[in-house]
Amino acid sequence: METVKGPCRSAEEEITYLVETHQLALLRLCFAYLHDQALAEDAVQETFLKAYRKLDQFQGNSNVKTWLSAIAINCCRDMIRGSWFRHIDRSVSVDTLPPRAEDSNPEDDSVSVEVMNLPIRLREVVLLYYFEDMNTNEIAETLRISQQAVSSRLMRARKKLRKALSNYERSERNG
Amino acid sequence: MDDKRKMQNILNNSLSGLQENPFLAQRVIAQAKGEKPVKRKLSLALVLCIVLGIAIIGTACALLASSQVADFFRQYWGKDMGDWLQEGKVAQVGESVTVGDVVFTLDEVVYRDRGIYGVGTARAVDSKDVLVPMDMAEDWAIWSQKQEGKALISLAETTNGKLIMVNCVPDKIGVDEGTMLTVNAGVYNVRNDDGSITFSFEASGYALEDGTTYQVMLDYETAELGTDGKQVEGSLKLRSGTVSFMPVMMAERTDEPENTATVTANIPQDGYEVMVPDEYRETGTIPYYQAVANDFTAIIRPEWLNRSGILKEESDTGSAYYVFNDHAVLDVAPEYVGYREYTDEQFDYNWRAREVDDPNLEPDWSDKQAFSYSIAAVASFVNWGDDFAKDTVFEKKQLTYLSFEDADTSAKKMMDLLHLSGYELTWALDMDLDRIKMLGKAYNEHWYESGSGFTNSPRYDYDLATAEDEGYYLIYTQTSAAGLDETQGEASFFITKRGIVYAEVRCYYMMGEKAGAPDMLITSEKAVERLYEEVARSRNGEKVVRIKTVELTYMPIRAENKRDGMVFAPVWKVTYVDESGEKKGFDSWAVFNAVNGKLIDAIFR
Repeated sequence: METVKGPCRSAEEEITYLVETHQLALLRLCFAYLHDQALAEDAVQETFLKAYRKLDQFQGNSNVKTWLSAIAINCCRDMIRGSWFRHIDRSVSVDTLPPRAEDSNPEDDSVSVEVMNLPIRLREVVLLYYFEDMNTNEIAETLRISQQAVSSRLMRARKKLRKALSNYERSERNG
Repeated sequence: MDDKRKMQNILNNSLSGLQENPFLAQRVIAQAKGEKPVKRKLSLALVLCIVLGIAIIGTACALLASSQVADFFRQYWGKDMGDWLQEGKVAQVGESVTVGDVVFTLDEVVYRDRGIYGVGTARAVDSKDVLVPMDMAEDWAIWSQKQEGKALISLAETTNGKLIMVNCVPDKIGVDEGTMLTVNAGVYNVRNDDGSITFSFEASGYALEDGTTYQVMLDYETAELGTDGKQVEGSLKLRSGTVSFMPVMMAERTDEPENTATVTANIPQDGYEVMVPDEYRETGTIPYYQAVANDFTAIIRPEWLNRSGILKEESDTGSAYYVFNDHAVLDVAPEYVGYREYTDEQFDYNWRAREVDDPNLEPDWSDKQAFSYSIAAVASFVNWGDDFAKDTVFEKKQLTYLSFEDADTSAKKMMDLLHLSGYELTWALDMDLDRIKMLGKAYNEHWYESGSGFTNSPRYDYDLATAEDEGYYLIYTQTSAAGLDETQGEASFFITKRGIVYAEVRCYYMMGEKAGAPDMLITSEKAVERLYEEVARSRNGEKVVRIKTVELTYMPIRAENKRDGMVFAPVWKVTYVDESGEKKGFDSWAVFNAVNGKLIDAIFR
């Protein structure tokens, strides 16, 4: 398991290492959550700032990625609680996704858009379960909800995503 | 592949365009350290990383007793200006950008009171090439005929090099990685004895708050000039670059206003008008509103103004330029729309300069302005209050073929299409046949005959006007926000029976939804007190002022929390008359944040 603050690394070196290793994944997570690149960048910066301050407190009971993702999700939650966020239409379309590599499958985008347009409670469990590779126990801990609630939200999310995923499967088979 | 992995791949592919920030770690560390002291010292390597990463070389500057910027501005803009800058915060930069055959190096920047001032050097890559400062090249056609211009042409002939115009203009500024703001910019370039050009700029933004790290986006440009005074076609090269810097104090200075006690003692207790919205009277506060950055290029349709079809179109990042089949021109930028009519006749736009300045001046041929454009120009000069049109006021609500209501409706329809809201009619002039002839005659007298004005625009015989040329010149102002200068939040139209034949529209930010309300605002009396304090410490130092009005209004500024972007914040706009110095008798203004009393911008800055 990856640990934080090895014996030979200073706090600055440790946070630099964490940023280099996890920044991109967290940026994608925050963008998928917030639908806004600038806000996502702010959330990632805030995540690492909090992580830097809490390096000493990190016990290593969970994996670093899970720990950072939990901080990131909480940063995103703080942001959407802000009055400013509520004033803006945050729905996502394929056009509002960041420009991507040309050789990737356009069907990916339609699935991603469906994920990103899920209601926030379903979206966060989907992102943590599928994207951040957490198990239901870790998600429950991160979101401070019961494991049962996590399972229930995952089931509802899968139902909502079924159509987009079946289109995706079809395009995969055809092409 | 299992479901989890598949979903991960899908999301990763879709979001593959998101890029890492290579300086994030340094920023996190710097932010943590800035907020509270940390026991551990940064390693030397990390310090270097931070310094290189954000192009900051700050601490060394603390030792400087002087600065290039202060010296340069002192030399060209006077001792007061230099001394004032000397008390600012300085950073040496040293970043270079190559544009075409020229290397631009930004040497030093100074921050003081919401302004960024910079000095740099432009050098030719090929020592044979001769650089021409933009200030000279702008009117190269004239300069090339004069001694200094001839000397440069002759130098280029001797070295067998090219004549290259160079320029550097600040485009946007920001603080602490917040929203980059459009600037009020000034540039001044001089040629040095060694052939290099020292470029300088002043970039001020009313929303540029005090901070730690500042950003300035610079547009560099070069273009080859022919000896005939024309820019060589296709030779214009442009490049933008953003520099981030963390300035440090050059010299100790106090932020306390000078002579506050003496000055505040002179504050008059009455004699000025206080204007506040009803909401403020009832609640003692007014809300913030979201400030939505405008972008006309994204919404404009050329056919809204002209249906003759497009003859030529030039679209670049952030701007668009259309020439219609009937030769009218539409010029669009994010914050600006300009529409004017031209004819298919060519006109020499050096005709007057040749008469007045240099009989050997080459002609400068271009499409001739249409009569409608010239009538709009006459009306706009009435609005400027030129002497020739003194006491001209709105009289007629009906012209031969057009009513005022119809003209007003056309203008409002256009403003709706352009998504402009909160604009109110603030000035109108009926240009009927008699008035076109009378004002046109006075206009010609002023600009061409009396010698009191100079223009290269074509001269028209306004006696040839017909009822078809009649129209209304209408100006709408974004009254919901304090206008800091004439170019902001204003829409002017000249409308005839044919519709809109002339338009000048400017809008930087639109008011969006409510975004909270401050608990309380400073009083109008406090705003006046703040004016006297700020005037006393200003670089011009006018100390005798008479307050005319104190108005509670709005201004777009960066929100306190940068993730909130820009907001229209409540401000006190204090209008006063200088009673001393060069500006004696002129109206001036200063705007203060109504929440915390900070000076946002002022004419004395």
